[in-house]
Amino acid sequence: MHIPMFETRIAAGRPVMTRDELRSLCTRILGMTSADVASVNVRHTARVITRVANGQMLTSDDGDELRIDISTRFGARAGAQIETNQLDDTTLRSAIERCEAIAREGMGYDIEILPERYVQDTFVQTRLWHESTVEAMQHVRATIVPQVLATVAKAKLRGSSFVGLMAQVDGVLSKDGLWGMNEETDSEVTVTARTLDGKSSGWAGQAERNWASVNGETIAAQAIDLALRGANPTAIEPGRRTAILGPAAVAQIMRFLGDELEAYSTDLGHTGFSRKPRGNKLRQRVFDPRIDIWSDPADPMGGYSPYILGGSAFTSPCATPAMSWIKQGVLENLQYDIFGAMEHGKQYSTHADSLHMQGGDESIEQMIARCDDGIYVNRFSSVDMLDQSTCMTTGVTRDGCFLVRHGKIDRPVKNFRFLESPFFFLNRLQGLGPAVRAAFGYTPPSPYERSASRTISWPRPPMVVPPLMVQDFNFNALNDAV
Amino acid sequence: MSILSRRNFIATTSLSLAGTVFATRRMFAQPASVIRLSADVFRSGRAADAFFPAALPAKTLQELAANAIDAARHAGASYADVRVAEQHTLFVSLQFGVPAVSMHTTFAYGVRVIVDGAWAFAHGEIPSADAVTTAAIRAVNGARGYAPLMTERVDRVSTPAVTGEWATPITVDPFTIPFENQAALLNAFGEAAQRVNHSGGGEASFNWRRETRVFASSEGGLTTQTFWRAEPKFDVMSWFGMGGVRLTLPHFSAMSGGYETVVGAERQEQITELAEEAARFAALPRRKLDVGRYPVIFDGRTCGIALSLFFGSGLEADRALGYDGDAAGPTVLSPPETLLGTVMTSPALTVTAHRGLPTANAVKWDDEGVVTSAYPVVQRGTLVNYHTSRQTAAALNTLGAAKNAATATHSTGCAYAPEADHPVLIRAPHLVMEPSSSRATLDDLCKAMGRGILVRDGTYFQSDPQFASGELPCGTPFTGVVLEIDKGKIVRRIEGNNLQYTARPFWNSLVAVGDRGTVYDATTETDKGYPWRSVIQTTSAPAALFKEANVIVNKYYLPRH
Repeated sequence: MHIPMFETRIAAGRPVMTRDELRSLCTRILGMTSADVASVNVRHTARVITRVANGQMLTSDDGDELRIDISTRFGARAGAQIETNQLDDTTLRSAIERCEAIAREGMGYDIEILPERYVQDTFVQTRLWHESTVEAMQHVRATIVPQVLATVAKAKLRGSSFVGLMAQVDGVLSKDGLWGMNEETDSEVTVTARTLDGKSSGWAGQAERNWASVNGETIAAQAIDLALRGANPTAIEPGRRTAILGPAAVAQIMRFLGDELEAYSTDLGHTGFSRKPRGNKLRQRVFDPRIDIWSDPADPMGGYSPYILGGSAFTSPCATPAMSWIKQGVLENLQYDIFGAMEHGKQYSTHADSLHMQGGDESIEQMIARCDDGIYVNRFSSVDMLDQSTCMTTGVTRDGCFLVRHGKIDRPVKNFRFLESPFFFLNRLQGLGPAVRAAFGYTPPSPYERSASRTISWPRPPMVVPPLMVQDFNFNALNDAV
Repeated sequence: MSILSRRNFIATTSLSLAGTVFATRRMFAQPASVIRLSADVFRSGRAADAFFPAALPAKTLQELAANAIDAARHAGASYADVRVAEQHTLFVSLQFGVPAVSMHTTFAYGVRVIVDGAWAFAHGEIPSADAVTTAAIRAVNGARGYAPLMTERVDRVSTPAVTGEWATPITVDPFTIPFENQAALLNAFGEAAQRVNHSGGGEASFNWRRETRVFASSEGGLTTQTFWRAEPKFDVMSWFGMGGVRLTLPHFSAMSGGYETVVGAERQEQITELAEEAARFAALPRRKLDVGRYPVIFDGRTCGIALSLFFGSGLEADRALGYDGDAAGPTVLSPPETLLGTVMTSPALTVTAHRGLPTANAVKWDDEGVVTSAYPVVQRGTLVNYHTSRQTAAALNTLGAAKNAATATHSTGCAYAPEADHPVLIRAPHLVMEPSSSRATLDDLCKAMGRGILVRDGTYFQSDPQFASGELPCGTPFTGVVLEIDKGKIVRRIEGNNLQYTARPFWNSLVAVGDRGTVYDATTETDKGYPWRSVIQTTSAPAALFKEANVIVNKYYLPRH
């Protein structure tokens, strides 16, 4: 099978394999194995990434990645799984022979029968693929990048920018005919504008599956506005203050809620949803009644793959449903992995990395207008969870932090470190704005995420969150970073 | 349809193997390959090399590198360099009796070119002349497209083209040691820990890496280096009631070398001593400190991690010069032309840097062909060097930095691509903090402090993207052991607090440094770039007494409804 070069595919408007190519490749690979049970999972990802800083294009990071997972099993003996990224027959046959040899040796594990209801190839209908994003891969570098940089330079600021686009197909086929496929695109644009003296910085970003919704000029204008307004910040005493948090700030904290929702950890007493001395807080109120949080593969503002890989040697498609986690402040569901779901007779679901938090109708400007004394935070950075049992997080404000007095932005202030938990501030809620998909910007794995062996790569799963106004947010120290 | 149960999953071993000669090189941290095998593999007399396909000859890697350079030059690059590498890794672990093995093999290359003063980079995973040629041409075409968009042209200091071969010296190849032997050693470590009362046993692992990396450049550089890296880890746990303590075996961290780095009769004794110490700490009464400012002692490992954040990542010249502006932003240690030559910290601090043996990232030549050597970073509190590459050294020269620090005129050899297909960025080398030449044990430092805080194995630091601050949580087994000192003695364990500091005044408040006996090796992972890539950063540092850190409360009780 011949897969054209990356550039050729980009130019042809299909940076990754088509549905037919994917299915055909899976069928061809399965045709090479004599195993009783076999499945194959193929994932093809293409990325076009541009970074600019100091007037220079940084190492642009375009390329594609192919991953082929093959699983085989003989009789009731072991399953074995192997991965390759090569498409030629010789390599694929060699991989399968190696995989089968290990499976025949029986150096595997006991296997249990997965109940029928866990194996489905009927999935939630999603719309995660957008042609506009694919088309943009061809021209983005020559259009939005110069446009953004020119806008920032015109404002006599120093600009830097990240523009990333991604297209991915994922297909899984098992020997007994189960077939699943997911296609998705994603993009993120961020702009940082700094004053020439380096003492003020503004940042704005947009993350969209559909590139047509991205507006580079607006992003640049927001970053410029924040940088100009942020000049000459003054230090004010840290402490508990009313906080107006932009969506990018809210998302940085709420990304840890997925770990809190894990049923296994919760029932062991390790999360904020645990009940002492044991059990969980299902059907108890945990947050302000205005809080609804859910995950939905078909979420038009985000969404994610409608299946997870399970079954024999982990590579059969199992449909993952939409889940409501919090309804009117009450904990409705916890997240069970497939083993936990079988054990407890619950619905399994994918880890709640992608969350949608119901918004309200109050704009950030309206929140500021009714705030007598508070802090507006554009974005948090370096956020980490310190204590899973309370979801206590720490981090720093960044790229736009302002004192609000008597209904107006009073002046820029030096950055703060904070120590807060959604279990606290979502119970001290004063206002919610419209939910949007938040851009994360540079957010590598935190020490907690690293210790939990979470694979965190760009793009992070979508988080749809509203801006929030909360009382007594704990800004506990000043921070020198700009 | 069938599936593995959770119970069985925990009871079995996972063995990851390369399915092909060239398993996938992950661009975004995807596993290269996964095969799950039974725990029987730990009773196997076979070694990892029995599962790996034969390694590619160095000559093949060199030919591929030459193909890439030729193609880039013919396509119009004014400069090109390439890294081509094959890598094998083996991870063996025994965590509370649960064994695991994983093995990967990868092939990757990355081509970097300059056309009309603009950089571009292309990478790939297919080991053929056609593929590397295509990548090189792709990079040239990319750079040609970027050039009109640039407002500044790439400038680099010149450096002699180097050729040669180098390999990490090793005594025993870990890939030839049978699984059963490696398992037996891990098991022996665990048993040594378990002989101690209240010991919760240990978590032991070996992470082996063997890589042959070829660098070639259009300036005539051609180097072939074979790196062997050992990353052994052994943590003991002790539980006393509900309060757990975890300590890590000193001098058992990432380093260059082979299987000889983990064997040694003294290990059993060291582990038993460590388990006894953990049990003593676990048995201590615990309390939450009042909020306020306290003097603090960091043991060597904790000091090393704090050091690597501020003087490692914080002094990477590309960060300081704003080349990471779209990601982490400029570090708090900028602008470099102003800070070089100024007094930054207490005169008790002297730091040097190098990429020599036996440190984990030891090389003879960096990833743009610069000969590496040791260099001073901080001399008695004065900042004298940033970690530089050829491009950032040129930028510093342009800014006149050499006026303030004579050494800031050439690359310090810190250009580094963690994997051959990653972009080349500056990564801090191994940092060495100079210990006190006069006697200053940890006990001496505690006595000198009188009342305050001692942090043991505090590796769980939070910082900010610009390394302006640090925060260290207290009270969980995974974040280090934080101890209250009164009248020079350990009296309690602290929990429910965080330690906070602002980096520059904190290092300026360094009062005293421990002697050679307090030196620990520390390893931490840092991220850089966007998409971010992780790399191991190492330090050797003694214990250190600081005048004050800020203590805050971190434990609150959840609201009831």
